[in-house]
Amino acid sequence: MKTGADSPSAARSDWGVTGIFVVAGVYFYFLIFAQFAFLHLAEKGAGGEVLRPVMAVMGGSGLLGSFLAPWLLRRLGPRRLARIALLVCAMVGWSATRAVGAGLFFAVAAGIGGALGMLTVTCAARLGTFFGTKRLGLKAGLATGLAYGVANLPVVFSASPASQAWMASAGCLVGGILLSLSRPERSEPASASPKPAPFPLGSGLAVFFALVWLDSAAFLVIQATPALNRWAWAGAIRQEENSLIHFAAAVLAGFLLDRGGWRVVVAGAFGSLAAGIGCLGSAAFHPLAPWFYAGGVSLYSTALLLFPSAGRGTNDPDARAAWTYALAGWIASALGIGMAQHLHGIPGWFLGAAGATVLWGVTPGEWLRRRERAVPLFGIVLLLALIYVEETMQTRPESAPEGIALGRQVYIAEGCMACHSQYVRPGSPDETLWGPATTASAAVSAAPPLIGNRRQGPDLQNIGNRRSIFWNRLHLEAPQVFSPGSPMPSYVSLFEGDGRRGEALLLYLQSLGAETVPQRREEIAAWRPKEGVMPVSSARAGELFEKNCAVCHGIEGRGNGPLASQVGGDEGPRDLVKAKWEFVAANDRVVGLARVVKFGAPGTSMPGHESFSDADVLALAAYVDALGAKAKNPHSPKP
Amino acid sequence: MSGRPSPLRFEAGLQVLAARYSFGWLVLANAVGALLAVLLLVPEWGRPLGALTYGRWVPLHLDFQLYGWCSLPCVGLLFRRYLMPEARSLFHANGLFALWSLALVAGGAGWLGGGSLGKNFLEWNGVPRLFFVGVLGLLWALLVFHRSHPRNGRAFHGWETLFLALLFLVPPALLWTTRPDVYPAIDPGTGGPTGASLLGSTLGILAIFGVVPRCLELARRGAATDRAERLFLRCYAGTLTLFLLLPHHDSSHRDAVQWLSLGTLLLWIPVLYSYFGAFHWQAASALWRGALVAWWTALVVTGFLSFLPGVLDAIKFTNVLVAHSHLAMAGMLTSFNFLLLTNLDPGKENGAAPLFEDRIAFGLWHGGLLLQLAALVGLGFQEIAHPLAFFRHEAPVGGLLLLRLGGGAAMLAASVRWLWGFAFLRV
Repeated sequence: MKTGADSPSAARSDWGVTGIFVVAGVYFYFLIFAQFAFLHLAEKGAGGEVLRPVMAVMGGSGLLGSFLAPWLLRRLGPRRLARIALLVCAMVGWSATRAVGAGLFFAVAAGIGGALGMLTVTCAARLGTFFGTKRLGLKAGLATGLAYGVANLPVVFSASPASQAWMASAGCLVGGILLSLSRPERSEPASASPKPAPFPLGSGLAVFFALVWLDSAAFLVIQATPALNRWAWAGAIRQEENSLIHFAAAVLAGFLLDRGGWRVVVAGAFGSLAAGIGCLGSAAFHPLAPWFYAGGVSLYSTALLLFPSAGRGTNDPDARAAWTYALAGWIASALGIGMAQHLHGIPGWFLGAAGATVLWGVTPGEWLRRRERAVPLFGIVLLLALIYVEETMQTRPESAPEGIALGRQVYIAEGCMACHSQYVRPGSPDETLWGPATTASAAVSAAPPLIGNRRQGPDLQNIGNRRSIFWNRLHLEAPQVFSPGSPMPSYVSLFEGDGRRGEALLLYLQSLGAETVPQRREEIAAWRPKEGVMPVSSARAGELFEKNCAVCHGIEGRGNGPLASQVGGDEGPRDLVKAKWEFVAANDRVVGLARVVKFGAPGTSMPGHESFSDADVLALAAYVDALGAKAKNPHSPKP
Repeated sequence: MSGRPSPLRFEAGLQVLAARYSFGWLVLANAVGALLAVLLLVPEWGRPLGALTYGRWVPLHLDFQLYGWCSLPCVGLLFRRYLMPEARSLFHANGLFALWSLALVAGGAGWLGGGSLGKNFLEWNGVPRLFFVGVLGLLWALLVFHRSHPRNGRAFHGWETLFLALLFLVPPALLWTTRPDVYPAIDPGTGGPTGASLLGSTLGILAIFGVVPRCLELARRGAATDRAERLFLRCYAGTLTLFLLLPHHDSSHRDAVQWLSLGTLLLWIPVLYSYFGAFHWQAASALWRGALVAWWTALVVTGFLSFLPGVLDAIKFTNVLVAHSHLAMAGMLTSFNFLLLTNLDPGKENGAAPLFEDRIAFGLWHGGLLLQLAALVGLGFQEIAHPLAFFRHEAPVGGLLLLRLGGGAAMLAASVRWLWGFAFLRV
């Protein structure tokens, strides 16, 4: 049921002083408390790790509050809803100074978001209730400017988060009391419309979406960068300047909007924000950045407050306000913050896209329609320009790549990544097979990353710590010699002619994981076969030896296999019959040998057999161990 | 009576053109796929190919499928909606299809020659890259030219103009994504895409699904269609909001936010079913619409399950995920492409309907695909359990590869059968 104060015949005085204070209080609460002091309090009271979830809860409840507002407005009326929401704001603001532990901060965040969502929609949708019927733009500008201006005053800006919470809560409480005490005049309508915006709801939403996204990202970048932070907000003089610029820009925006200057205000806001962001890029222009930034923010904030009521004809201002504040308010803010946190800056392409959105939004439809036939030509010219910029921006080496760089190119050209990954997943069996593990940042550090997405063969992230250059050369030339049954094709053609590409590929492979040899050695030393695994039969071990080891070590293990002269550099394959195994602990001999069988000897040409099962490597170790005994006593049983 | 037959209506001619080019690329991509299956099974048969080894052929298989078979039916849909319905438009469409194909041929030659960029599905590099971006720009210009031509009597909604404006972003986006230093956020646990990325790319597919009935101007089923459209839009807005609010930096699949958000796609199984059911499609497409719904269900369910912690850890980099990709491309997207192509023309005078309803080819395709999926899953599990046996093709890997080749051969046969049919239809 509507109260007398909310009935259409009961509207605010045209002076709208109370309304200006109420709306300024809401904005002030948002600026100094919701997006600033509260986050400091939450970080202090519950730890930095809760900040993101707390912000997510605030954003989610803000969305909910925005969409609930039209329904509540129909049932409670704007004044009663505003009073309730102002009271909730004051209470949760006070609670934040007392809260301890994550749970309470989540509850406070939900309260802030929900109440602010309802308040912003209520103020923007029912301007008549707060501002009366005349000079809505100027009053919106005064309210916005007052909020920004006061929030930037040194005494407020530099106060402790708890004091700021008290100030914001007091502002809401006073606003609620003023609203309760004030009596609307009977002669004026409750609803009122500013000069209609010259763009439809969709275009307007897109424009404000881009502006809020840009503003949120810029705010976070400035806040998180000490040098920029100092220029933007440090010192009483700077804060007073900010306060003044905010106020002046908001009032100017209101003045222009009352005269239908929507395009000027919106384009001016983007231009000012873009100039501010541009100034951030050069130390010489840093002092100018806060002025542009403050001016841009206040220009669009005033327009944003007015936009929901500035529709043409039968547009429902409640629904417009809900969509405007849900999308352009909450979601665009979240996206701006997320982008700044992720990219640590504002990419040029984003600035361009935001500019194009604003330009499209403010360009008169009729003007566009008259030039529609020229659009394809314009598009093609623009695309050609983009291609030209792209081509000239690419840095090309002055001379053809050599060595490892050429080897990487060969790796890409031959499509090695179609069968081999370069990503050893942490905590997975990959680590034992091909470790140590890869980190995400290391994987994407080279351009392009060669992570791959499937395997027909082993991972090559650390091939340099597992295989020697001799082994790799022979394997590339005749893969099945070392890996019987492997589907890998021969790359002997890479070594034909001057063999430059083949040699470069070898260098590249050798560089992969070369720095991880010590770490790999530690991992190998820590490895033991799984408990309870029994070796396969000695007959199977013999087959494995013949198939995998004899090519280098010879069928009898004397180091005289067919490829013995081509692997191992100066030393060549070890004579397993005479070997003393001095590096293997006597009391753990078979496991020590199993380590060599499974992982090879990093830094030598002895390769590992990482994908062999524990049962296979234990049997092979026993087989190799028995070779010496067999030589001493030829009549001993076959190993 | 003698002389030349009267020209087909625009839609009928466009349908034949789009099908001819699309099937042409499907045949080529499948032929390369079959070659790859042979090279895996009997590597020594690759010797006559010299330096053109397995790795050089892989981009051709992937990109011919993506930029040929999976893209050209959508280009046909754009022509159907934006081009003026007259004979000259068919000439324009043919020219653009030919240029697109030429760019793909240039790309293929570059990849075979060792000119790949090294990014899966984004191998465009050098001159072919600029050529293809140029063709995309020309396509956009052609669509805008026809859309704004005074002779084009069609009424366009605001969203169609906005869609056309957004299409202009595609060429710069391709230019940007094919830079070597641009790479999406990755899952640190696997090196693969994050849940947010997968949700985002699926939203792209769903957006295309959403606009298809309207672009094809399908007859509606009264209030049921309104309800289904509203449901689709609300679900899309919800999922899109969720996607936008998700963290887009490197995030592990073990992060509950990532796999739970991907799980919201399960909701889209009934939503898409009700959405597609709310329009009157060509009778000839009934078979493929059923296949689409079935493959979509399988894709979403297996996609979600395979992203779960523990499951993804086991199957990453194995052929089980390759099976999932085949399910997406050869199952779901192929069915969707048929749905598109069949409904490009509401009439029957071009003789295409029986080719789309060819049950032998349908059976060959699906039988072959099921064989492939079974073989790939078997290979994947073999790799998980016995990596050595997998890398060295010990039993039963050889048998499974043979099974896979058999499946691929059946699918190649089906695609040749479709191309053969359309090769003799007049435009």
